[in-house]
Order: sequence, then structure tokens, then C-alpha cells
Amino acid sequence: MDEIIHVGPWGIAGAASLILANAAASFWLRLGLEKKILIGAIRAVIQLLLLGYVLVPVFRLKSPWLVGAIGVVMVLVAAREAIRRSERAYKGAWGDMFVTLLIAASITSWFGTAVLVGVDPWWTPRYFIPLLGMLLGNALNGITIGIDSTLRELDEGRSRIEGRLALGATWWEASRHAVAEAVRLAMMPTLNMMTVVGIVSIPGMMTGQILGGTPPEIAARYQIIILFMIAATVAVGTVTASVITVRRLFDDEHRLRVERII
Amino acid sequence: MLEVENLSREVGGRVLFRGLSFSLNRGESLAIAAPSGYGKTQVLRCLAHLVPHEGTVKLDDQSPQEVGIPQWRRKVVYCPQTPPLFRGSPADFAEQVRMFAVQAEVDWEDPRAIAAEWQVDKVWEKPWTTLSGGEAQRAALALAVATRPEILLLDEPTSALDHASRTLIEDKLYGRTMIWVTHDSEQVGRVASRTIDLTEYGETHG
Repeated sequence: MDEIIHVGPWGIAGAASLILANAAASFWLRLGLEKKILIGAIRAVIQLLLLGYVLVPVFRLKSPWLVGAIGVVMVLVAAREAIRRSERAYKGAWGDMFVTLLIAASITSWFGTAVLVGVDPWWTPRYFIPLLGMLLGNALNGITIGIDSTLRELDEGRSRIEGRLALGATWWEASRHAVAEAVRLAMMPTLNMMTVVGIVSIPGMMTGQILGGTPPEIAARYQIIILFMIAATVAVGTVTASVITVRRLFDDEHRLRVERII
Repeated sequence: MLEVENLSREVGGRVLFRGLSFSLNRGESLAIAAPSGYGKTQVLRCLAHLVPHEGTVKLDDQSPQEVGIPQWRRKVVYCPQTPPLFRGSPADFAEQVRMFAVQAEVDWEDPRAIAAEWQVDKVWEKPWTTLSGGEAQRAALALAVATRPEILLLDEPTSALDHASRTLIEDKLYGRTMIWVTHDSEQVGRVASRTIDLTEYGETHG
């Protein structure tokens, strides 16, 4: 196998210059995104470099408690980010989405490492943490679309929902269409990806693995596993997020309380 | 049949009405009158248990909680002034409502037949978005009537209709237990045996 070529600091600096294209676009079209681009780029560099260095001792220590703690922090940040990206939210959404993501991502991550890849112990950080991160990143998008689309329908489609309630619908009968639409929207990117993957697009993870020296046929197997795990996590996460969102917007007497939207 | 005691509704810290009490007997038709802004629509929405309120409302001595909220709303049906733009057609919506758990045991009238009486059967399979205001109003009302509610809460049910259509609807509804919100004082005379003047229960308007 060929030697892995190590990327030096100048390589990273050179890559960072690519972000100038975004800055130029923002400047030319007066998008006003220069600051956001700059901060985003700096954050990405720091966070990823830190991740690289933090993971070295974590991988070496192999402490289940440390893995658990890192996992919880990752889920917390993902939940906050999912809500921040949604146009609408409700009080207590962060806690709800934390639990949602925790359940959706940790069950699939466990299934992935323990059953599919067969790692022993299943929480071995070298496998568990990257997998969890990959799943969280995707589930986060799904959950954002789930909350956003559900709350939009409850808010803008209020009269339709009350029209059903007025004829005897339960809270679920009156708003299940909002959940269905949100889940459909949220699953679309993953489903679209599955149709073009390998022909048009080579996923980021597989690219990284191949560049990092893994034989392509092994990278492909990992990618297949990841892809289905992403699909499952997005489905479970979005359905749960949308159902919880709808339930929170109704009181115990089947009344839609749009004033709870913030 | 319907007993309302001390009904109050507040929206955003503003009292719309307070201490509203009345009763409604089977087969009786009541009108609620007041200028805009006194919360006529809100009275109907409270009675349908769609919004939070204070006071007690009972149907045959049972509260909404005792009846079960969805069941209560099946019996006490609120018809908004402007029907919402549902996806699909009135026929699609009727099919959806038919599937609600509380509607399962109910012996419906044929909504399409009522729509035919009101000359909107030709739009029954057309999307709501293509219906005129008057057509949508009649289609929605036809469905509500078909579900055989015990009390109809009607919010300006004929506001978008011409004289002939209005008469058809008033004739069909005659004799049912109803509460009407209407601006039309002549209509009050035709359809209601009693009128509640909501301005007497307002606070902010003095």
C-alpha cells in the first residue's frame, strides 16, 4: 500500500484560501456574509484540529465514561444547533431534542459498532465517536427540517387544523399530516443521496478514508453501513422530533396553543 | 340542553367578555349580536372548547371534560365564517372526517345530497382552492350539518351568499339547535328566537 501523505500547516493554509471564493461571492452580491464566513472558517479549523488532538488521548485511554461524556456533549451541541437553525421553536425544545437525538443516534451507533462492525467493546472510541458524529450531523439536519416544517404548518395552517378539531378530531388526527409532511421533507436528502452515491458523489467520509489510506473496497463497505445507519437515524429522529413538537403545541384538552411557538 | 355560566375570555390581557351566562333548549335558535371587536366569534370558539376560557359550559349536565373533548366537539360543531383552504376537495375532506374516531359510530346524512340542495354539488370534487367564498361556505356547512351535531355554532354562515342561497340554507337549518353570530338584523329576526347582546358583557368598551 502507498504511504499516507501527511498534510502540513501550509496545506491547511492553502485550503483556507479556497474560502476566499465564498468571501468574493458574498462581497460581489452584497450578501453581507463576510463576517459569518470568516468566523465559520476559523471555527471549523480550530474545532477540527482540536478534535484531532483530543481524540488521540481519548482513543488511547479507552474509558467508557470519557466516551459517554464526549457523546453527551456532542448530542447537547447538536440539539442546540438543530433548534437554532429552525425558524420557529417552542419553550423546552432543547431538552426534547436532546432526548430525541440521544435515543436516535446512540441506539443506531450501538447497533453499528456492536452488531454491524462487530467491535469489542462496542463503545471503543475509535469506532464509536466518529460514527456518532456522522449520525448526529445528519440527524441534526433532519430534526431541524422536522421542527421547522411541523411548526410552520401548525402556525400557518392553524385554521385547517382547527377545522378538523371542530369536527371532532383528536390532536393527532388533526395534525398527523403536518408530521407526515415534515418527515417526508426531512428524509428526502438522504433518499436522494442513496440514488446518486458512488456514481455522481463520493461521500465525504469515504473520500476521507480513501485519502487516509484505507483500501477503497473496505471504505465502500463502511460507507454502505454508514448510509443505512444515517437513513435510519434520520427517520427515527425526525419522526420523534415532529411528534413531540406537535404534542407540545397542544394542551391536554386537544386545543392548539400557537402562542407556545417562539 | 346547553348551560353556560360565567363565561369569560381574555386575549392578550384584554377581557373580551366576562360573566356571560345563558341556556339553550333543544330546538332553540339563539343569535349573538354586537359590533365587531366584542368577541362574538370567541364565544363560539369557547363553546366548541377550541380556546382556553373561564366559566362552565355543560351539555345535558355534562362538562366537555366529562364528555371527552373530541366527542364534545362532534356534538357542538363550530363552523368558522371562512372555511380553511384544505388540501384536496370537499369530498376528500368529508372522507377524512369520516375516519375520525368519534365519527365512526355516527349515522351521517349524505353531505353531497345537502350540497346538492344548496347547489354546490358540482364543486364537491373540486379543490377547495378553486372554490368561491360562497361555494366554500356552503360546502363546509353541508358537511357540518351532515355529521348530525346536536348544536351548530354558526359564525356568519351566509355572509358570502346571495339572497336565494341564504334562504335555502335558512330553510334547511330551521328547527335545529343553533347559535348564530350574524350582523344581519333581518336574519336575526328570521332565524333566532332570542338574541344575546354581547356589548353588555364587555369591559373595555364600557
